[in-house]
Amino acid sequence: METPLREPTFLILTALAGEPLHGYGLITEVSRLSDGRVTLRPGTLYGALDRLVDAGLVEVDHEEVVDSRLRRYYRLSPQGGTTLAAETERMRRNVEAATARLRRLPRPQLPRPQLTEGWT
Amino acid sequence: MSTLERRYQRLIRLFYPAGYRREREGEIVGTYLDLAAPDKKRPSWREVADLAAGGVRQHVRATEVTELRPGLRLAGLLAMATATALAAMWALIETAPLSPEITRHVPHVGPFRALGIGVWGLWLLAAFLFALRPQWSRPAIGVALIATVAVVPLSAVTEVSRPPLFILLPQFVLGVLALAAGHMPRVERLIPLAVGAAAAAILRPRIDYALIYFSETPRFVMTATGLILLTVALLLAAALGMTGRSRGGWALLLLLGPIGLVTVPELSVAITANLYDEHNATYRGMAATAALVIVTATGLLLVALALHQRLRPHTRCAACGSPIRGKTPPAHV
Repeated sequence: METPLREPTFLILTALAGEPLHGYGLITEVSRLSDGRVTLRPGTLYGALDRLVDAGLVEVDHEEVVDSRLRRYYRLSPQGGTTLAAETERMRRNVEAATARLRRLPRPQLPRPQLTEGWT
Repeated sequence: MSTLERRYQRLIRLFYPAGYRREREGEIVGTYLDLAAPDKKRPSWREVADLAAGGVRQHVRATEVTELRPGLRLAGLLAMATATALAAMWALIETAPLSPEITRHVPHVGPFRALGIGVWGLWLLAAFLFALRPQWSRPAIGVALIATVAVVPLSAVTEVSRPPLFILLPQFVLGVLALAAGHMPRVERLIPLAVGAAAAAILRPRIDYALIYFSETPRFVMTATGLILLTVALLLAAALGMTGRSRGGWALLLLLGPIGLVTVPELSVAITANLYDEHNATYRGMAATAALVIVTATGLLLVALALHQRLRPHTRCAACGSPIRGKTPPAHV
């Protein structure tokens, strides 16, 4: 799997780092983790899961049948955990570097409101 | 089963490969139904687009686990070599001097008598870039493809002759296949240029004067090119097959269409001579033969893909019986 990970992939691995989840659970958890910014659709989700299973980062945990419908639960593999940890560390270093540089900058000045004719 | 569930199933059957459907249909439909509002009756257009894109991804992925992808690259290389050889030979035929017996005015563009020289020049440029600047080869092939199509309306506007469709169509199809050649070692990238130079060297001493495309020589050139390509593809399929690799077989299957189109004038005469005692290549006969070639070659490829999908053994988890996917199945307990 190529790094850096794309955001949806990173969020799927992060969601699975908590507990094994099925498709619907993964979609809601990814949406919650990203504050609703990333909404996966099932076609996209299962394509991503296939790639992650192929790469050995995600494994099938167990299956159950609910309301006559198959639910397959996925979990993070040990290799997936290692990849997620490495990616998180890489992002943490980037955030620290950016934060340190930003501290040295003068405080950003907010734009002053422009008064238009008719209000003066 | 609800109407909504049936509609999701129908979409999955429409877009996804059969093997994948068997494995995942219930799971995907279940997830869609979990997400659906209680009063929802039909999938939204976004969901249709999502399933269509997912289906395309799975079809592409299915090719990755077979030797189809390497076969496509091999077919692309052979197609590029053939397109270069044909372009080199057509360029020679077009640039040879006019016979002194032709006294009537021939419409021309600059020193050339047909618009084809521009097309063949672009194909030869694409072959150079294919060999020397791989990163530019696809855009160059794209430009040559556009020129191959654009020469038809351009000829209608300028009234300058152009290569006939039975020459432009196989060139276009070979070019489309050549786009699949992808990354390969420099030695292999030099093959189209070498083949083009060899074809021009063989043909040059046999051309005294410019020939029209409808004469016997171009027909012979096309038939010989098609037979050589068929022979090379067969030999590669056999040689690679003996080492247990099926990429040569896939390349042969992919090249059957282009080979048929390159030999359309000869095939057409063979068919019409047998059926209607018509021994000349007619426009209608060649159009019907080209359509027959395209349908047959596409059908054979689809049947081979379907058989391959059906006969491919599935690995299943010993514990739960669910299919295990991937090139190297992960530990699954």
